Amino acid sequence: MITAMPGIAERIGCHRVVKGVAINNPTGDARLAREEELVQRKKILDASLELLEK
Amino acid sequence: MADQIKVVFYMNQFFAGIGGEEKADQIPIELEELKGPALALSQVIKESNAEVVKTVVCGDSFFGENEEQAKKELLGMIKAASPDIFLASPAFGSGRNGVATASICSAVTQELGIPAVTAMYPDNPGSELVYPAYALPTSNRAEKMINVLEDMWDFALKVKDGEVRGSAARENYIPRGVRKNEVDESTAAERVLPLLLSKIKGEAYVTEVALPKHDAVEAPKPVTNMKKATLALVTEGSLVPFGNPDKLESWWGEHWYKYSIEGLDDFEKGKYETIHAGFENANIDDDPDRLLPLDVARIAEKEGRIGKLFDIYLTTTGMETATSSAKRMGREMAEFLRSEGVDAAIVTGT
Repeated sequence: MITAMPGIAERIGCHRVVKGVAINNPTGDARLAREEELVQRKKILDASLELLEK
Repeated sequence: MADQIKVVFYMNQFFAGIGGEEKADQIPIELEELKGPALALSQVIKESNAEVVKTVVCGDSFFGENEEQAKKELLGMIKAASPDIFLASPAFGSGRNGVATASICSAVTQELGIPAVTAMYPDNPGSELVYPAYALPTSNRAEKMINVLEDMWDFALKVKDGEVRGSAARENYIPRGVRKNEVDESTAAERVLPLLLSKIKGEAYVTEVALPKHDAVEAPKPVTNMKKATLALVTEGSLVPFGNPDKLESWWGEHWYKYSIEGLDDFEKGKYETIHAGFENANIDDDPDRLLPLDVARIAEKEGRIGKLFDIYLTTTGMETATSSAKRMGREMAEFLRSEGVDAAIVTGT
């Protein structure tokens, strides 16, 4: 799960949780330039893929 | 004359009149004047020789995303006022608000030793966070605020005077998972027989030992090799084709839908939108990949870091959605994905 509130996800029993950027845009950040945002989103995805293998 | 009772009140950006979702990132502040529920509370408590001496405010998103910092700053403001009682505005069914009010009440009691009370819908995720403070049960919808504040005040006075001694059911607060022994005139055998007879006859009865409802889900086995796995994208952020053709609910989610992403490299602005009523939608409407990372998932597929991106994404709404509905939809989604040979899913939550 990707969420900006990982504490809640873990408290209710989610096993694989990645911290998202913000509640209203968990996998993006409008304040960043497009290319920076893509890099950030890729990192979030990569962290998720890594957790899926653990 | 007895000393005046000092009260500090907490509320979120909405009840403070600062704004809606667009101001959910409000940092912790003290208000100069009484507003909204704080003003209403001041009228309720007047007769008790009590006064709201300070109102503190924090945005729901700020608290959720920066809990330790928010608690630290708020506790500093609250401590400076030396209140006798701390109250946090009813959260009703609002999950983020409930988490914030419950967490700050818990911290005020634990760290400052001040009685603290809030109120929320019993299914609110915040209800499990309030101990050793208290939360009174409310309806799911924000209604009858004055009545709720009156009940909170009456209860808070009892907490302050050490008069809350009975069970949650007897004292009418949301159970906190605390179990205390009580002495009864009747023996266990004398008490259990009427319960058993009621149960046999199909009549209502109240158990003395309510077993906790464990909801633990065993962690699925890890994917052995993502490079060969089929990955699905799922969200509770209500991402739908523009116009919401299937009329997905914006809150109180009951349905989930499947939409094709075959051949798509990203979610194009203007062709998809979020209709979730629980947060400011503009950022995601501007770029829906900020909710569900299709663009980078597709890149991962092309680069061979995943075997295949499943051609369909699943969507529902996690805003004030009943726990029972969420469980049902989760099971249905999992069954569908499993039947389609999906090995893993990334779920985004807002």
